[in-house]
Amino acid sequence: MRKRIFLCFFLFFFALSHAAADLNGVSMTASVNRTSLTTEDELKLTVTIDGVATDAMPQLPSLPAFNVYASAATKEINNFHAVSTFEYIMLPRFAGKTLIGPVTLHYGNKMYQTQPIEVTVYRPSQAPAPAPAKTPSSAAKTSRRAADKAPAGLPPLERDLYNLAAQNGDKTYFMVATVENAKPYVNQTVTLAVRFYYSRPFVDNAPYTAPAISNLFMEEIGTSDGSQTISGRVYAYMEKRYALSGVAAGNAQVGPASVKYIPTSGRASMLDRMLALRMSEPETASSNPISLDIRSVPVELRPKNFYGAVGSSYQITASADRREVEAGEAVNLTIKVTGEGNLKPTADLKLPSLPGFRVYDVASTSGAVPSNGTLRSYKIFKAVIVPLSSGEYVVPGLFWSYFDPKTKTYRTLRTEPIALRVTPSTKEDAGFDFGANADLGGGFRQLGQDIRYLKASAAAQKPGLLTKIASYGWLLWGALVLLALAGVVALLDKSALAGKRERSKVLQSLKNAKNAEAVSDALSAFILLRYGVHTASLPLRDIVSALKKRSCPANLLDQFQRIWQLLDAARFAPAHLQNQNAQELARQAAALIKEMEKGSRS
Amino acid sequence: MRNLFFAVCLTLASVCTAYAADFNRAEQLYRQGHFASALAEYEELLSTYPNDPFLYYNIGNCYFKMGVRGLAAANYYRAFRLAPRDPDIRHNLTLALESAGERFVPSGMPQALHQAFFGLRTDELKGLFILSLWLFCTTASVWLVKRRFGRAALAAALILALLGGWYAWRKNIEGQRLAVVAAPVAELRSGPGTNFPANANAVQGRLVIIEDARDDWYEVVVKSEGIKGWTEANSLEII
Repeated sequence: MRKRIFLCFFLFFFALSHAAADLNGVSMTASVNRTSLTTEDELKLTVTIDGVATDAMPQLPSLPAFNVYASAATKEINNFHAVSTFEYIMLPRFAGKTLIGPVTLHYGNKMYQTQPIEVTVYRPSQAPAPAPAKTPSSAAKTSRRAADKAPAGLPPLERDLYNLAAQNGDKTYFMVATVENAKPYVNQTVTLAVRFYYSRPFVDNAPYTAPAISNLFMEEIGTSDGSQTISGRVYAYMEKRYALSGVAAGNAQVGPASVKYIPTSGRASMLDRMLALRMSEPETASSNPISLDIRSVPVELRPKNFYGAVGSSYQITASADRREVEAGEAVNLTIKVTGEGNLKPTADLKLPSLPGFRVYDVASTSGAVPSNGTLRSYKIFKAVIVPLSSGEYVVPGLFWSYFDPKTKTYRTLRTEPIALRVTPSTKEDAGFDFGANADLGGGFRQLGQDIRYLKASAAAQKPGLLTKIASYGWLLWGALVLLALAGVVALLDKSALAGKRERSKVLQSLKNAKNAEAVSDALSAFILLRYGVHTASLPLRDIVSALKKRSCPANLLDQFQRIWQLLDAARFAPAHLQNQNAQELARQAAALIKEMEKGSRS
Repeated sequence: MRNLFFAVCLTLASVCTAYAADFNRAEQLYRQGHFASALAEYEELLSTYPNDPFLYYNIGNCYFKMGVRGLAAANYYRAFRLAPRDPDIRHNLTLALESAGERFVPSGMPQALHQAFFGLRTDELKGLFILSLWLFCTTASVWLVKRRFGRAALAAALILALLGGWYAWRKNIEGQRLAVVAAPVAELRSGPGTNFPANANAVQGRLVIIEDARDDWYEVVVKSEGIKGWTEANSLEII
């Protein structure tokens, strides 16, 4: 049933389309791109058939003066109205006047004919000064380009595109690109428009490569298409627009965008198009590179809360996910900035220190949305604040500044203050946990860690011995005074000390004496040290009298005389007897020395 | 005279009892989770007993439970200076500092060595130094006068030098103006003013050494990282 309905509709529309063609009438015109040319020029004959829906082909007349070496056909159907265009590229064979006869078309039992066209072909050397409108020499092209100025009233970007396209109007396929402002500020968005113009069709699959950029951010903000007549030739174009914003002050580059296309004929069937796709080498159309001079925003009067945003119509809002919390609970603050410009590269908002709150670092997300050919972007800042104790708090308005390139001034936005009511915490502190669930071995498992509990006062504790000593600062000096006194005493008693040393040496030598002579020498040394009497080569009588004079006690003098005589005797005794007596004499001498020492002390 | 003695004893006993009662009340508040109230009680006691290490310890506990780790660390540090051998103080101070990413025992230093180095309070170390000085002076005096105990004097000199070095080192450490970041984040700027750019942020609880001061700004060095910068005075708690 459905098939039948569909068939009926199809037949109805088919009949209607033919009826419409008949009602509107069929017309056919023929034109050439020039009527004067040289034998080296091409002639393009264009035949336009209006109102024929089928693939009817016009019949060319006999053209003995030309060689037809290429042809193309296009067909456009709008609302069942078909317009077919046939183009023939011809080369003149010889100079002279010639007539292109009527082109004929047999359609619907009728024959249609065009008017004949007269063409004059010159030899190259004979070519007359061409009329500007009819002979497109290079000079003519220049003058025509001058005439192809953009109409007044076009926006600057459109005007630039129009003029750039006019300069490329002698090409069948070309690309142009331009920006609306070549000297933007850092982070200011400018529109880049890239257009691909074509006056003849191409195979549908034509890959596009976006321009390479340096020192810029780029966001695509839209595509469109349209047409433009350049030098009387109708071009269709496809356009892509981007929002550019400079990263840092200095030079920035927009490289060429490109389209790889395969030219084809509009009349070509699907098979021809597929063959063209396989057989033909693609051609590339590239846009012109663009250089931008990125400027820094002014330093003068730059607000403290400027984070790098450049644009216009910015708005800021702030909100909290709740207005009533318990102490210690987190409140999520959301600050949203929207406006015309690119907020993605701007720095994050910094929250001021909020008394009574613990403030965590701000995290941000941003995005851009094309809107009416401009870039609108947003940036959302999320911050977590934790009230430390209960009470009524107000999160003050937050400031955020941006630079408006239109007015070249800084503007500052402020959020509305947010009131928060903080109630006392009803939760227990979970404590602090570093190594939860750690196996300690030996059957113990650590579940977490926390601070240790309170301690009782230490006020009752008595200070230790060392603390007490340290508190007596004079002790430090006392020790030093003691040392100093010992030093003085030692200094004063230096001579006595030397005497003691000598006496100890004498006693030591007596201990080690092997013969009477050594004992005699030790005793002589002591007498000299103690009484200052030299015994060397003196007779005993003189020694005794000298000792008497120096108050040596009489009993000690007797002992001295006895030992001295024994020593004299022993010196001349045989060697084996000397050794036996020497030890005894040394003992007696030592006893005498001790007695003399005592005598001196008493 | 006897009556006066009894009066003095009675007054002292009543003061001690009042102090203990205040301590107990603060502990009750702490146990009930009223940390801010307990803190107020302890801080009031601090004006009467400024050298009680456990008072600082308890204040640190209150701050820690309130989530103010910076002030908790500062008070634990004060307690540690007064009672360095107390294991609870060391434990809580370590936890408070680690919560801010700070290390109490410097990396690479054995725990035992750190404990030994800080095993005595500075005044105790001073007392020990005085004792060693007396030992040295006595033995040296004997040697000077009597020429005896020379080796003992030498050993005493060695002990004195070691203790003197230890004491001087500790005095040098305590001579540093140590502070803790008390604000949530302290911005370290290249100069004493907000017109200078911030080069780094120090989070609450980080230990810093104050090197210079201009108006309401301190020039600080972050001990663990060696970062230097100026920060506002109200963002720090001097220990």
